[in-house]
Amino acid sequence: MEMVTTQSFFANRIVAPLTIMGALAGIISAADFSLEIGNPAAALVKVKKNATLVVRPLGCSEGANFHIEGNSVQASGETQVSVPLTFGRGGTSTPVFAVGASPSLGGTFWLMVLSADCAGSKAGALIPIDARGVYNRAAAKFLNHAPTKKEIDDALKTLARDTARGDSK
Amino acid sequence: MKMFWNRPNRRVAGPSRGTDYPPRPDLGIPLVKAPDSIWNAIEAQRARSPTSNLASGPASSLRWQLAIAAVVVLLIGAVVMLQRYANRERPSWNVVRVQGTKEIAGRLSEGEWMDTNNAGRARIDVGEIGIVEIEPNSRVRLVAAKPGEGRITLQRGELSAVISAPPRLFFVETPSSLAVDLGCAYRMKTDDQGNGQLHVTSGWVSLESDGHDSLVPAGAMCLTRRGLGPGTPYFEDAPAPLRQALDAFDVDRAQTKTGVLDTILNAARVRDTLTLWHLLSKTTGNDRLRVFDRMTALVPLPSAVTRDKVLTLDPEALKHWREELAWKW
Repeated sequence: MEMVTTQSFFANRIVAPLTIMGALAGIISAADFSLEIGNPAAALVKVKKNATLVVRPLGCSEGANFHIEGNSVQASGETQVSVPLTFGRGGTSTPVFAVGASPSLGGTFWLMVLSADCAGSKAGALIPIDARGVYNRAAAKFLNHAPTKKEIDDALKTLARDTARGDSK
Repeated sequence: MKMFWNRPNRRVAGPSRGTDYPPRPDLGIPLVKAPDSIWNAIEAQRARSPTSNLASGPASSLRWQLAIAAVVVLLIGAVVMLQRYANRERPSWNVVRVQGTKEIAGRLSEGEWMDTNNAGRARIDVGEIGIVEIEPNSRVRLVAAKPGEGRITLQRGELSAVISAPPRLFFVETPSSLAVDLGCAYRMKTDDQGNGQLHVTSGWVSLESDGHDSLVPAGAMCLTRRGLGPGTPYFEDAPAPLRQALDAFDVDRAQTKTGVLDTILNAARVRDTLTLWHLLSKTTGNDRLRVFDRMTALVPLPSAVTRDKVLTLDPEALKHWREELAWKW
């Protein structure tokens, strides 16, 4: 009987609050979670030489829980092609990832689609890349969720329109 | 008295040996017959001499011909060996010359020049670390093709390089600067006057001359001028007023007193901190302070970097700040 009482005490007074605090800490740490992109010069020597850009999490104190994935997407008429990107960890304290180069789908531009997770919080980015492999920061979109199919389609259409107008750069 | 030591004379003079030769004209010199004992001694000596047979006769002639042939063969062999040795000592890269739709494969050795005409191109395999494409109307020279150093000279024209190797393994020399590959894709132009342009599309390149470095990241470009070296890099989408003012600043820095620096600072956007970062080391005194203030107005100073260290151009502080700024480029 005494044992049951002790277990209840630990469950109610210690374990439960700790669990709640841990969960809150995770939520707080990822509350403003977002992605930041940069020139590969931001992580010189640490990145793959053919990196298109580097990306790091903001508002994610638990670096070990940070996860990122993505695709390079290109559209040709009604056809859409998607190829997984490759990532590499660059730094040690803050996760810094080098993103692989163009999938060489052909055409004049492509879209880098990023989806990231930090302790359950989501973030995403849609980044236009021109034919030379240079990203267009001004036209990039940063999201607080993984990009949806509609957002990707819309971004490709906008990119096609801007490219036709000649101001995709 | 003269003596004639030739056999015909002797024969003329010696009727006992026969007189088949026409008589000599009378020159008023008395002919005296040499004693037979002398001729006999000479004949005996010739018969005993081991070299006497080399001087004449068919066997002697054959030996000379064989000796000369052997020398010629040895010389040819030596020349061939020297050529092979020379080729081994001069590393080279594979080259494909493209003329219209026709492609011709070959090699470009260290020290060799290569020219392309107005319709010709060439593709050079930089060992196993990358590819260099030479545009029409260009003149290039392979300076070094070693495993630890690839170096070419772009005397005139344009090339594009895609290199995947550790930094500082591939170099492009131009009349006004040296492009050091820090990785990995860029385009370099040089005109007949030795002035040039560098456009970087991936990674970044260091443009160097006389101890001055311009670090040019992907999306940026840099002009280089004969006699002045590399200018200040800027992003290709930089505002036109900034580019024009920067051009004036690089050519004549004294113009900073006439408002050129003001124009640059006013036109600068967040990603133009690339340009401003370079201007820190190209300005002094109050001008450097103005550049610093504009930069910190655009992007907050990282906590690990102090104002004093930046203004005194501390290398570590500048490097740290540049790496942090690059997240905004």
